[in-house]
Amino acid sequence: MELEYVAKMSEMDTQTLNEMMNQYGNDIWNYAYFLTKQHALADDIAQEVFIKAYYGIHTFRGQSTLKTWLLTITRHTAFRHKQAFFLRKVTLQDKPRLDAQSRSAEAEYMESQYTDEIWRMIMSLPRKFREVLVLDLYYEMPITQIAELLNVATGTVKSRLYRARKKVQNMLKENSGYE
Amino acid sequence: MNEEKPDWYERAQQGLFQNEPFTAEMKNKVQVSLTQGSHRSKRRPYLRVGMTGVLLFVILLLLIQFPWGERTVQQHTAGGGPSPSVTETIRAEGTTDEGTLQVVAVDKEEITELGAPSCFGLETDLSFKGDYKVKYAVEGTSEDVVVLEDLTFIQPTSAALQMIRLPFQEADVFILAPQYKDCHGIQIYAFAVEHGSGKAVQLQFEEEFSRASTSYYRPGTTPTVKDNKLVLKSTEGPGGEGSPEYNMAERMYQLDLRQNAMVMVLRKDRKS
Repeated sequence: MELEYVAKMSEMDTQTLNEMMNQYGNDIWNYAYFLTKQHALADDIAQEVFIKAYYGIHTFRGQSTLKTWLLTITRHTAFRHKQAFFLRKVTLQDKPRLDAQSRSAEAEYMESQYTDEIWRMIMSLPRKFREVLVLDLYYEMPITQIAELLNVATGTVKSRLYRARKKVQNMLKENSGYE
Repeated sequence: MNEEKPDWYERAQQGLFQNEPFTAEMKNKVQVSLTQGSHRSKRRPYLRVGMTGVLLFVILLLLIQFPWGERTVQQHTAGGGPSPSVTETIRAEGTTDEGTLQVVAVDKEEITELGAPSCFGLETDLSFKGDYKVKYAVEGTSEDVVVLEDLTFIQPTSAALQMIRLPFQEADVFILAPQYKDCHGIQIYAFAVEHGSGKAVQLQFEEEFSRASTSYYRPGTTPTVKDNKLVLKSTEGPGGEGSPEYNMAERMYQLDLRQNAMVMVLRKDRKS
């Protein structure tokens, strides 16, 4: 269900908030994680985003999709946290794909290992490359929407995306002779 | 390999986490936080001030006979334009070379004083609420354009608001901003009066995925015309003020009178 009707709301009710969290909660959490690389921080940011959306719904004019608006809040919130806490270098501490251990079939396990490897490479990219790549790859957003979200020109998005893909491609080649 | 979508894309699209990271517990925490109002009191202190202000205002009304206490209808005439009938209140207007575009209260307006400073204005600013008819008057005759229902104006005075007139090759475009102040974006309506025919229409704002009767511009800026295109400065949503990549962007719209629309044609970034 699309929740674009909230653009006409001056105040949000809790039912709409619930629907919004059910529909976009995982996307928002994932984006917070892609930006911060910290599980606990992504938890906090995702919750904060919905609280901000609840109180700030009157500022949503429907100029973008609701999802893009929420992702914008996520991004800004993540940067605020980053300014406060990210002066130190963070490393990828959370183990991705937690349920991979439960798989028994070897082929399936190897496949998940390979997917993990790709994601480790993506997450090791500098933030500006990582971000455009996940928005394109994971969120499947059009270039124009990514440009709007990041507040950069579409040409910049295309350039970053090309370089991000190239970097991952090179890492894959180096690691396993992948073609 | 496809450079556009490398084949490893498909595998990576499975996502980083297969479980649902935004858990029911987190949703519950958001709800509890809102119920307890911890964020509300922290982020909206002006509401408390507002409530106190409103209370004081009511007491003041009881003590003195405030002229707007009975929600009287104010009469204002457009300078230079045709005289309105005695029952009309012109809330906003814009003048072309031939006539006047007027925003007229359909019935009595609900007029109150804000009572407390907030994102929307000063404590002494006035709020006018009601249904408003937009009409274009030329030499004693007028043509209705649209009715804007349940609209709220917030302005420093009760005088008729002057709409922003923007000259385009095909028409005069008028920008109506019912509320002059906002923390994030000034909401606007747009109307066009076509040169020659004098036909007045409401314009829709058409973007890639949306068509809406309103748009917005950044507080502290003004809509302008550049290369026969409407230029609106963009703004950020809540939480955007701290972003290191906080850049003012602007949107450009092409007037399309066949569709009665302002069609977005360009979005520009301005690196600070």
